[in-house]
Amino acid sequence: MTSLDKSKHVAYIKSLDDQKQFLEYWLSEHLRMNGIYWGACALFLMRAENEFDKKTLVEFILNCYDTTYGGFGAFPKHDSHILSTLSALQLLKMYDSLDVINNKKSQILQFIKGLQLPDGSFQGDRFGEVDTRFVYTAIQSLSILESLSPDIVDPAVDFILRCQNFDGGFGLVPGSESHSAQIFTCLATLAIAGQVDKIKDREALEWWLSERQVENGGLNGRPEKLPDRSSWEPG
Amino acid sequence: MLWMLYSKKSDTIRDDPFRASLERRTRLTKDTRLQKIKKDAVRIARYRALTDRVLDNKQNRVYNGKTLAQTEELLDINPELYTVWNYRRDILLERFKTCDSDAIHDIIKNELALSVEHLRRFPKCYWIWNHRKWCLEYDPLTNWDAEMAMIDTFLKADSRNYHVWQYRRYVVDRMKLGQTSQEQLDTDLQEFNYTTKMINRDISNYSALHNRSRLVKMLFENSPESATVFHTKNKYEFLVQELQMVKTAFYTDPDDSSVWIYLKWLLGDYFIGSISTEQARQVVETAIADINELNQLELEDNGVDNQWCLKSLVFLEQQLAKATGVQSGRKNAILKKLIEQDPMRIKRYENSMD
Repeated sequence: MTSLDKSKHVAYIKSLDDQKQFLEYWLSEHLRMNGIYWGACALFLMRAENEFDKKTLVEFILNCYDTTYGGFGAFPKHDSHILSTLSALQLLKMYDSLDVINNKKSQILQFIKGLQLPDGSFQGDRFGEVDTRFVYTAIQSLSILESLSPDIVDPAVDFILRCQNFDGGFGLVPGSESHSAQIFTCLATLAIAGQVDKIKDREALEWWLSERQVENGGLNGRPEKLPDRSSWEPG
Repeated sequence: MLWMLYSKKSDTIRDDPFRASLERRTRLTKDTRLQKIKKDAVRIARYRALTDRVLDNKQNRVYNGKTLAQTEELLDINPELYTVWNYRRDILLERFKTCDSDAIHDIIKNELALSVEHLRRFPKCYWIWNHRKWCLEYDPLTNWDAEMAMIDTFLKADSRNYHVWQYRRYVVDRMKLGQTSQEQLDTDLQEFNYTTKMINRDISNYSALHNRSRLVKMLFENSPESATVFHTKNKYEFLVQELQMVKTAFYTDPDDSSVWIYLKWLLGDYFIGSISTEQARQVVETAIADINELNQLELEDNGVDNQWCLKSLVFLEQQLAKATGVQSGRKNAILKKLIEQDPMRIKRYENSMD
């Protein structure tokens, strides 16, 4: 068994914020908050989370707070979106810093709850894109803020259950094709809600998911697609 | 939630010379790295100046033709900037206030044309597809035929593109809103026929099989009058036809999982639960015989069982036992073969043992 070269991994993750001389660094501003979250997750797994400077991190997160709509953007001056809002909350929770948003909590809650639509789904921001990813991100965010309640969770669960397909999997919205990434978000929502037992045809779902591993050991997101190196993304 | 953003990025890079070097960056030599830094410095300055200008104007709520053009320039470089799409929509909404239906339609026509250009370069970018849907929500005079033609073009380029199929379902649903119930049934039937066409072109098109499964359910539910296989609500007749198609497919490519998953649905509880026990026994036994025959051929050709045949046989033995109340006793032997041949899924097979 080869061993994990921890110091190299840590150095690599830290170097990702040190690429400002490359254009790509600037072209990926829109996913910076999410990127930092994933980097932090890797550091936590390696018990090296202190390699990120907590003070700088919290400052960056607060700079991404969008006073107009009450959520977090992915980068300063970017609009609130539920995806970057979850990453921001996850980071604050992981670095034990949720208290820095005490004075914003009611606006943040209003932003998230305001995204829920009458059918229980959530839009990602005020422009109407609906996706089971956003249901998960909203429910996970509310869970971090300890603000889940049945009037929000139950319709969301009903929506998720309507996204199950003939093969047992779940898609982006009701009627859309099963995809491993969407299944993750649907199962995670049900798990947070404590309602995983509501899944119908669990055998088919398990069967379909277990078939995502292909001969070379890699995982694909959908049948007859190539295994994806970065993981499970609809495309 | 980075997964959805990262590999999407790698999809778009290939098509865009402006971003072409990202994937190769880790393999840059020292010299090329320095060259790139020099070259990038100019581009970064230009890009950041433009971004700053646009975001500052956004913050100051400057809504005019000039700022609209600037969003276009920026999105042309980086269509992932959701904030800039939002700004663009705010500018458009402001403009709509002083427009009549025809004028709004003209503006949206222009937006749609622009988004096709973007989608050609970035066919998997969520934000562009989302912008297109937003446009349709505001268009009082949508040309649905043009939308369907556009979708067809994109599915011809990539018949599995998740976003295009999703967009197709969205457009069809929107179209149906303005239709009588008979017209809606005809639309569903056309969509069903479209999946037939796509499957005939490429049987491995799982996206088409997925869409077919939901259309079949909808047609059985809603189509009592139309003169099709669906109108009698007799699932048996449809099932026999469909199994014939599936049989041809798995003989053509026994290793293609799409068809096997579809077969699993056809012989699952949705159909088996609504035909007579005798019909159920007959269709399942026929399928078992066909698959055994195919597996025999595979065994002669390759010296090993075909795993999809074995996996399907396990399921069919279960369904047969469910329909007849009698265990054939063959299931465990098949599972043992699978445990040997497909150790990655050993737990699943062990759990299925009687």
